[in-house]
Amino acid sequence: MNKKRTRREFMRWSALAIGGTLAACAPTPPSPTAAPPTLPTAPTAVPTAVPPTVVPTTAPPVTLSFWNMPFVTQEVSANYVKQWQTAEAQALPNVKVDPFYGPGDYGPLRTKYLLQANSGTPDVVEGLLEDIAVYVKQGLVEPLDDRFNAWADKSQFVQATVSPLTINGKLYAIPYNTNARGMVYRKDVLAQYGLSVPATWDDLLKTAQTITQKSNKQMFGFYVCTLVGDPRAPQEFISWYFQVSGGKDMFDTSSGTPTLVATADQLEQVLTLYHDLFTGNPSACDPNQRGTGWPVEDPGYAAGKWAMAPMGPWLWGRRSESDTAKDILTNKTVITQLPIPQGGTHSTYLEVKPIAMNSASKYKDAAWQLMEFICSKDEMGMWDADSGGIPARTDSLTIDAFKGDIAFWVQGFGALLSQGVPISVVNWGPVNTANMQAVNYVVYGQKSPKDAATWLIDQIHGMEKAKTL
Amino acid sequence: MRETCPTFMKTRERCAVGRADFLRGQPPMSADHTSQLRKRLRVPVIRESRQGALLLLPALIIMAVFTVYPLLDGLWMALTDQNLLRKTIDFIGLNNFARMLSDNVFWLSLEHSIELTSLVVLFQFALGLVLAWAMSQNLPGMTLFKSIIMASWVIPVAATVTMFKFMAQPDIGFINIVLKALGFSNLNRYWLGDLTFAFPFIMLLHLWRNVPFYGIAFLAAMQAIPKTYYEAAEIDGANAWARFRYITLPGIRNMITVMVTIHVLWTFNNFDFVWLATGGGPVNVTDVLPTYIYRQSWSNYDLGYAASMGTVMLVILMIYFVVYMRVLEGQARS
Repeated sequence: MNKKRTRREFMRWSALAIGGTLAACAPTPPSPTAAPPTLPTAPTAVPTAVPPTVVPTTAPPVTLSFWNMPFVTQEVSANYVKQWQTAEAQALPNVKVDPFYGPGDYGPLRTKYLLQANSGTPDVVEGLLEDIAVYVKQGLVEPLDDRFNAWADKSQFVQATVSPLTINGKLYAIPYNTNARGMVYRKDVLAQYGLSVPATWDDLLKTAQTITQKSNKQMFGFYVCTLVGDPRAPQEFISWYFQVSGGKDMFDTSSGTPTLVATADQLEQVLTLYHDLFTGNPSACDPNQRGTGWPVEDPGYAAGKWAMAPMGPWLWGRRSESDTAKDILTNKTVITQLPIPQGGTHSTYLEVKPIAMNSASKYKDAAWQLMEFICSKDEMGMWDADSGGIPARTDSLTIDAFKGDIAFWVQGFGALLSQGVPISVVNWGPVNTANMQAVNYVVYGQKSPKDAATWLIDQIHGMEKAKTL
Repeated sequence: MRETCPTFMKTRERCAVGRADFLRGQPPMSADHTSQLRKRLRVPVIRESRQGALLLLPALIIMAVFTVYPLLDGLWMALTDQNLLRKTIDFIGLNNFARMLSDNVFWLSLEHSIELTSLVVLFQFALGLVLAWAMSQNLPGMTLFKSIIMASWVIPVAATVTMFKFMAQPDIGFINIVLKALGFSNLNRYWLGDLTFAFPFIMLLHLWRNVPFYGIAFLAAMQAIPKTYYEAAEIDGANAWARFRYITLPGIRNMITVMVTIHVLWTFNNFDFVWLATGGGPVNVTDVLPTYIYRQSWSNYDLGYAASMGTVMLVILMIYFVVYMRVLEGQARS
């Protein structure tokens, strides 16, 4: 018998092997016992009610997915995450949370949520206030009015933090963290050079330039985020804008369609500030830091590279980075309001960080249990104390974690909440990109503030026309 | 006479007769006998050409699913106003392409893409040749050098960019430390944030990664050239440059074709270096088409417009490929 394999035989068996491998790798059909998710039929339509999937205590644990930025980027410490996981397992024995907390930074988190939320994962998502507006337009988050109103803890929440999450009369997320953008400064440095705390934009420029000069550029006086795509940069931009506009948003949404109300003069005034911060010899801000964002701003301040910076309470979480950072943050930093222009008002960006439920989640009751846990008095308090945030619940501030070193920090930023202005319900993604592009034109000397403001207005009008807002 | 055992059989019994004969080493059956056997067994006749096609079918399916379908879907998307924030998708014809004509950032990105590709491939080719020539010499330590030179290719792109970003930092970056030591502290800057130097720095990243790859590839091709050619040329009085020009270069022509072709495609399509290093900034000076397309897709969610720019990239590369191949074929014939 001729045992020699022919080429034809080899090809035949190879084809069968490849076909078999492909068949084996085909996705398995969904389990017939899983409840099918209900998808919204229109962008603003209320999702059809799905019979709630009750998690009986005798049932095997439900695994939920909870995406959030702080757990991944270590805005909270690794120790706190472990503590949170333990507490969650004890509080909700039938709810297991996937230790994969999402892609991390808010940009990728938002993009991936938009793409895959209809699959039901994640069940619970944390994000930025501006993300919620986009999710609501796509019908990707569940209205929570009934659940929130039935919750015994409802009255503990600061109404000013709940209101921005109420869109078209429905509550779409629960706030867990809030802050108003202020300014941190090194009291030791100002004292060393005999400088007073700047109250106006002109004072800010002079004070910052003096610090840069007297320290021989070893420390720059100020820092602002200018990176296109950075989440912090447009928040700082809008803070300056609120001071110029008297606390009014860039857009009027009263008619349901966002309409730009910011004027070229107002935007030019803001862009002139950015221009002035990077010009002059010496300049208030380091020209080599043009085009950078929060990953440079926060550690830079904690390392003593700049004396003043627009900031929120999260910086507290950096004190564990080094002895220098701990010393600067606990002993040498003072919190104050942002300087304002001549004729401006003390208004600033109010950040409200929400926790929302995926409208396609297969386990909405369990997801709500998880949200109640995350936003409970102790858990919200400990999360915010670890990261330096301000809880959205009044009773959370009474826990022991807020006594001690952090007390001055929380009081300092808490005092600014009254100046906070929440942003309107608009698709801020392309607007923020355009805002920061205009800033870059100005700080790199490509356009004058006037031309950059005109360009910005044209860009936003284009977005209005394309109905992408 | 070819084997007559059918390739595809429905039941083992149908095969039994033919296979029994085949395994017993019987001489191939006559055509008549084969035909009668097929009729008796009711086995379909599959021509060899169809057998080949059937064998290729799994690979074709994979290509269709992962290459052809996304390509066609992208081409369709380019003709619509598809936006991630809108549920409705309308056919808008060539409006996206018309919009491109007045988009300054698109033209800037296209210009940068062509500039980056041309310069990077040219420098990679030249430096790769020099490197290959150097490695072909019997210098001390060359064996060790050959083994470590591909490290730049092996290191992940993200790690490479992180490393270079550190090196480019003002004051504390390696580049600025060296410049300061050499007395050029006035050049201290953040190289990736500088309007003049950001683009050349991106080119440097490409060169650092790919020149060793060129060098190794050209070296392998050089080593395949028979030494007798060089000996004969030396006897005929050819100098080093003449030997390089008339023996080495023609000898590695095929490798040059392959390397230039794939690197033009790779560099034109390259996204990761620019995105990780600068994001296309500062102020679009390093923006290339892939990064601009990415921003249109995932910052503005304008998938239709992004797909139209992707289509333009596809057309450009196809034209390049066809023209380049025709030129090479013409040269090869002559």
